[in-house]
Amino acid sequence: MAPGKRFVSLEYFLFADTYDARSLLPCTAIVQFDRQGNLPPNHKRLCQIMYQSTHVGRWLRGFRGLVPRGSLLLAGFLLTAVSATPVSGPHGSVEVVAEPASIEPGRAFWVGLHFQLEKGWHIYWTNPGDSGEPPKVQWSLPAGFRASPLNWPIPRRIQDHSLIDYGYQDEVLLPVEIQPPAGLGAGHDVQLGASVKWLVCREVCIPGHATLTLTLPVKKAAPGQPSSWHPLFIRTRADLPKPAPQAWKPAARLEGQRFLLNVETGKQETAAVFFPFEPNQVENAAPQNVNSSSRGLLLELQKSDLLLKPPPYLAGVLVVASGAGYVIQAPVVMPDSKRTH
Amino acid sequence: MVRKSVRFALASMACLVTVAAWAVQPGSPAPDFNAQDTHGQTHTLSEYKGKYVVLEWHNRECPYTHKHYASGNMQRLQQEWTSKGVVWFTVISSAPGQQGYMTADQENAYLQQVKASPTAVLLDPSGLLGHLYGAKTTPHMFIINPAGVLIYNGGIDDKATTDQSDIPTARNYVSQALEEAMAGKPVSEPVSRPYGCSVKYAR
Repeated sequence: MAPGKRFVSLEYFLFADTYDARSLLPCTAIVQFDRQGNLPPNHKRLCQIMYQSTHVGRWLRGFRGLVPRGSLLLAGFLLTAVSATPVSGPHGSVEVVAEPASIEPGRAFWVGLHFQLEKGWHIYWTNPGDSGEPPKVQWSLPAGFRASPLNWPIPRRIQDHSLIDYGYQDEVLLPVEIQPPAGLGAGHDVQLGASVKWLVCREVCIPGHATLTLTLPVKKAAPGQPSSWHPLFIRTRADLPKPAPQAWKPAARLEGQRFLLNVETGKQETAAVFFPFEPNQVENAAPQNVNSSSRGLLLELQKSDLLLKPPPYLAGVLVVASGAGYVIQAPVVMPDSKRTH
Repeated sequence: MVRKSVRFALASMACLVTVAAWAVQPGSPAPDFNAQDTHGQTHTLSEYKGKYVVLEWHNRECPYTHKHYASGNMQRLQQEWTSKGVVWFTVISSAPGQQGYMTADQENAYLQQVKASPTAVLLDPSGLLGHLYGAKTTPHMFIINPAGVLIYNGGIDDKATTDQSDIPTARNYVSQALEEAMAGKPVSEPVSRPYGCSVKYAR
């Protein structure tokens, strides 16, 4: 290393889960030499810290080790980018990206809508909250291909004047699983078309619309190379809410102007946020008070004034202190213990 | 004319109310108000007892408002229902400096330009009227019956998009509620999700 240089950029790959090329995450740490020309002892931890402080705010499971990028390139390891060129929209861009570099007949694979937004601008969750509209996609797929609905990573609460919306800032990937037909011929390319409409807001809102195409080669059964988007798909799938364990027995009591949502996670929960799937059930802008117990928590949710009769279920995503999100479907009971359905 | 001290007290209450935007439930009496239109004339809700009253929250620059005005949809509704004796108030609660704020002259010019025909446009830059009703979005629609009871609170229709092409196939909740109520029937859908941009109250 050059003694006169104070800073150096160290480029690493991070093994996120196992020592497997498919779980590599790229990381660039800018590190400062000390007076003796040595690297600080904790310089490798900088990559771990970077991933901890993404907007997901959680540790990725099992950092196993760091491998300098140079050594991987020498080993002939190449990641290919598979995506359509990002289309500029109002205050950001959108593109369709694919997790694998090629696809196989009959083998499902993941693609996603990748939004990158200017600072302060946001797009919306499936339930946008008090205002706004979630992004929508219409696929044009070759014969026999099927696409799942959009999958929604855990959203955040976003203040909009006196309202609360649910959505995403900076960057988000909305994953979609695609199932190609088993009879698909190999040795050629297929084109996936996506017509995407969305609303992006800060103080004001602007609709966006883009027509995107993604071309992927079809190869016969051979374990495909991941594309360079693979790490983003891993991070995003970790951020998709999971079904709550049955043992949690979520249940909601409707008392006066409040839902009391009881969830028995099996341990004391000190913080939680509930994102309802349906509009007009919970007052989005009201604070949600957490009463923790040794068995879990009781969450106080203000009822929406536009809720005229009690719903049979209160369904949505419960996010706990660790940042993990769980899909909850809580039957609603009235104070006299009568079920509402 | 609301006295200055009372207006100040009401404004302070409005600040507290912004924390949880309380809405008015269909079936309950609609709150009386006192507001000025773009010709300097004052209107109260109570003076229109005996008539149906529609409140339409508006921000000309919001893409959802634009959907209903560029298509002529809102103007058609205003024309149809005012010709049947409904009092239609367009309300602007954008604060000065916020998107959608209009002076009386600007709004009168706009009405000419887009050929809108509400009974009057109520200017509410302090947000008092908006907070009184819990208006959240533009558009957000409220319907009050001749007895002064709120019979509808929600979105204009059931297609929460900015696409003009969605208007012909959407269920228009305002027309539906007025038709049912005028026929002496209960309103089948008294609430729906109000969709649009947030009302640009003062921060």
